[in-house]
Amino acid sequence: MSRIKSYTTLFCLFITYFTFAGGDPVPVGGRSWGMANTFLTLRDPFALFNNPAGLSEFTYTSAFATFDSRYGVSGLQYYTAGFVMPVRFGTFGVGFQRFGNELYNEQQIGLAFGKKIDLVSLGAKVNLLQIGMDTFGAKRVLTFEFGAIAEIIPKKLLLGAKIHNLTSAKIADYQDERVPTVMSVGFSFRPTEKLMLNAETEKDIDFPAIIKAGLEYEIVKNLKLRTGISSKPYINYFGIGFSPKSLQFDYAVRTHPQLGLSHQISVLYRFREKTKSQTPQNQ
Amino acid sequence: MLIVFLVFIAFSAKNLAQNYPLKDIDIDAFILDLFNQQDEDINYEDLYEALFQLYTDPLDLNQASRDELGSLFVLSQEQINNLLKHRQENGKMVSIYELQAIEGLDLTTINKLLPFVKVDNEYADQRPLLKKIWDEPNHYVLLRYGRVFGQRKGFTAAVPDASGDVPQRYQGSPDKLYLRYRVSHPKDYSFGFTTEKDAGEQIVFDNTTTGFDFWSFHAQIQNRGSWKNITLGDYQLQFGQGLVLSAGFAVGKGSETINTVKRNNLGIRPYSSVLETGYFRGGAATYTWKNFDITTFYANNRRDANLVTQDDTLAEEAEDFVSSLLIAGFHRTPNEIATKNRIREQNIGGNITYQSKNNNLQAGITALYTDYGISLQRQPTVYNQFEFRGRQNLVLGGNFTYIFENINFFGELARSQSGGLGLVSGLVSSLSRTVEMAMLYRRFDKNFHSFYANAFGENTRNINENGWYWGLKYTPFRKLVFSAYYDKFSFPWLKFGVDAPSQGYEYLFRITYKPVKTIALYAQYREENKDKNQPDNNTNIDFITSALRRNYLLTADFNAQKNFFLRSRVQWSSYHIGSVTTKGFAVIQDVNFAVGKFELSSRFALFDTEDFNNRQYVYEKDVLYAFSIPAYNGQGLRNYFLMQYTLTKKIDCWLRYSQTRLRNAKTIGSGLDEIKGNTLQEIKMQVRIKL
Repeated sequence: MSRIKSYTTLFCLFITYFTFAGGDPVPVGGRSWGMANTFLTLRDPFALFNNPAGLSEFTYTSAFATFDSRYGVSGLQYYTAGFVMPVRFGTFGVGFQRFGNELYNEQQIGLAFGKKIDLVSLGAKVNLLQIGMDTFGAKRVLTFEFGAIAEIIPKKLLLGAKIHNLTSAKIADYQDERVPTVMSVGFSFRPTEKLMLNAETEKDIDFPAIIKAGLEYEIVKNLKLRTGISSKPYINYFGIGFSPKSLQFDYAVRTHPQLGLSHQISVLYRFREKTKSQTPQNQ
Repeated sequence: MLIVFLVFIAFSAKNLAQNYPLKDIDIDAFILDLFNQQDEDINYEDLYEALFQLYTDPLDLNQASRDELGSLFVLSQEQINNLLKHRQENGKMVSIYELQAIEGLDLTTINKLLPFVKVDNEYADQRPLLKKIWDEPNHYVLLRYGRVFGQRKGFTAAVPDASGDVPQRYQGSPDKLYLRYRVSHPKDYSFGFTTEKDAGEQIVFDNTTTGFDFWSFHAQIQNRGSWKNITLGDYQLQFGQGLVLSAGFAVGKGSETINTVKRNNLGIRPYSSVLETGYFRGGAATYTWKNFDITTFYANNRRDANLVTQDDTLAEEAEDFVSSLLIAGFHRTPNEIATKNRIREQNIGGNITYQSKNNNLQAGITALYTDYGISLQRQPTVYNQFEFRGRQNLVLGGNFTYIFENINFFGELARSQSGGLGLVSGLVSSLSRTVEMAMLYRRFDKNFHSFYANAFGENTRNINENGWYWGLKYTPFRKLVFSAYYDKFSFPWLKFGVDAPSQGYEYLFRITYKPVKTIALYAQYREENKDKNQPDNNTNIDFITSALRRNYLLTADFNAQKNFFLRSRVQWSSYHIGSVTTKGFAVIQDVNFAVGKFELSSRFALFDTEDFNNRQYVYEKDVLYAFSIPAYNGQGLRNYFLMQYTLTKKIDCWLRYSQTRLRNAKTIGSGLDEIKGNTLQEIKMQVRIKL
């Protein structure tokens, strides 16, 4: 019975839109997923996986973990863990991500660095990706990411851009299989401190461009509600975030028109804050 | 690549404190602004090289005429009026900072203007010519080398095919070499030569080639008493609206909707480009008498042509003739080499221009007589029935420009010896402080033959076209500009690929928002509808159907800190003909920064187009004086790295590496330029030595 379930997993891999050639950039954090993954301009520790330029302007060291389950099918889960530490001249982050089960899995460990210079933040990340398949062995490949965030109107209007897999890392010669190269560009409009509206476009070299839009609203202190939409496949996203003291919990759910519900939950712990105030430094 | 990562880490260290301003960014942004829409299959690099000549000679603001100021495409009519008024009332400008005192010239416009102008307040330099040349700062030698990696088909060994024919191959090496020497002072003198060898061309010494494939040289002196301009060597002429003589700066419809509509009377201009046609080689002079400028010229050029020799000498009146003239200038394969310099084209003509005392009226008459020395007989087709055939041609035209209050009227009417008429007329006006308008009507008969014309129009040549153009620009605040144009045109006779009289329209709408000096945001939409033959038609008669093209563009420029620049650009298009719609998309990210004596520009782009109709043209930064506007077509990635290094105060070097990588492709390029594999890599090196 578990064999059938496992092969179903493999089969699902081929009909799912998101995972294909392996090494796709998968955003992490309930915050990002709650806003249809319009993450380019978000400055929080999850930017370690989302946009390395977001690793800037931190005054605290943090660690986080996320869990993502798709369509209720086992074997299609993502686990991530990350550790972010600001240093004198920037912010470092180390992260680990795993997808799949013993039949097919992808594991990735990455090192990122981000820095803010006046109104621009830049970030870069290097990953070691391993794709393993039962009876086929494992393949290892190195990929690079580069991101930027520019504050057009400081704190109110931001522009973000990211390139995933600059070098078109090759997985196999057969059919010229490569880790997908994805470019994203997007805006974030924040009319007040409690409200954020984002719009982005993402283009995977092998697929048509996707447009995403997301919204975050802080209805009461430390409680945020999120929603978002994306095109082709047309998915609705909903999320909620709660940040008591040094912890931050984010949960997001999304609905795929054919494949149903998927969930993401993330936990973030801030070690120490250098500033006196207790409000989180997330922007 | 790892290099980018490491460079980035190095960059984030303290070096940034050196505020080394980025050079040439304004020129790039300006060209990008001006020429934003491309869809014709023309060699755009060549076009822009021709325009850039205008910019290698900074205009002296104290001596520039209205026409010369207009030719920069930066100033509106009102701004030009104010500048001339300021000069008239206050005398010569003392320094470039005086621009801020002129009414109507805001800081944005001044910054756009700066790369192309200077203020020369020295007394007229009476020293001997050689001494002046020795001290002249605008004196340089430029050397460029380019090479594509990956063997193009034209460089592989030729294997005889099934019928025993040996296919053509490029005869020369894959290196592209270019050398340019120039010394010039505006309104005083200009000397220079340029020589070039394209990839695939040989270095030989024979009766058509002296070493490199192409040579160009000129010697010009200006303002010697009544002699306004004497030029020997290679030159171009621009009079009136360019219906008879136009110096090839085909700035047509684009993002700049007002300032490119009216052409300017520039007279004789030295030629130093490497476009191998479109210029005159001989001598020209302009003499000033009272309010008249009288120009005469003579030229004798060798042209590339397909010569058809008649073998049967017994037949009566068996004359050799030319079936077509070639303009690309490539001499790589034996067939191309055989067409080099086959005929001698002679041109003679002149122009008289009258300028009224108050500068409000300018009128001129232009005549051009062309003799090919041999009859040009195109292969007859349905669509070229009214094209020029014969040995000689005469074109005569009259033009005027009249300024009334805030409206600048202009026009030109010309007639070619066939009886065909060409007409261009219009106006440009600053209707209020915030609104500018341009309007133009053109009419070119199907038998109007003017070989050196380049007046405003939809087609690349001024023949067989009628149209109305209306452009508007609204600047409610300094930071926000709305520009738009609407062009309606029709073609009374057939065209290539269009087997019936046809018509179409085009419109563009653009918003430019610059919240602060360092940030610019653009959004642009363009729609063009033109008739074409129905594809896959299987009836005897070709029916025409409309082809609708839509182009969308979003760009954000961010100029942080003077030595760091980011540009994000997303553009997409759709093409609809018959019942088929295809799409194209490109996303481009540019990062440019300067550290110490280095300047680095890089791009990462991803494109995905369904077919050639949706190819995305994107301007790329290239080494100084070179232009790169490749078409991104297919599905793939494009990146480049350009490094500029100031070795000493007098020596600058450039190094550029670019790469296109296609996805799901076995070959890249076509014809003899095809490369096996899916990657095209190119390297360019350049050195400029100021003398």
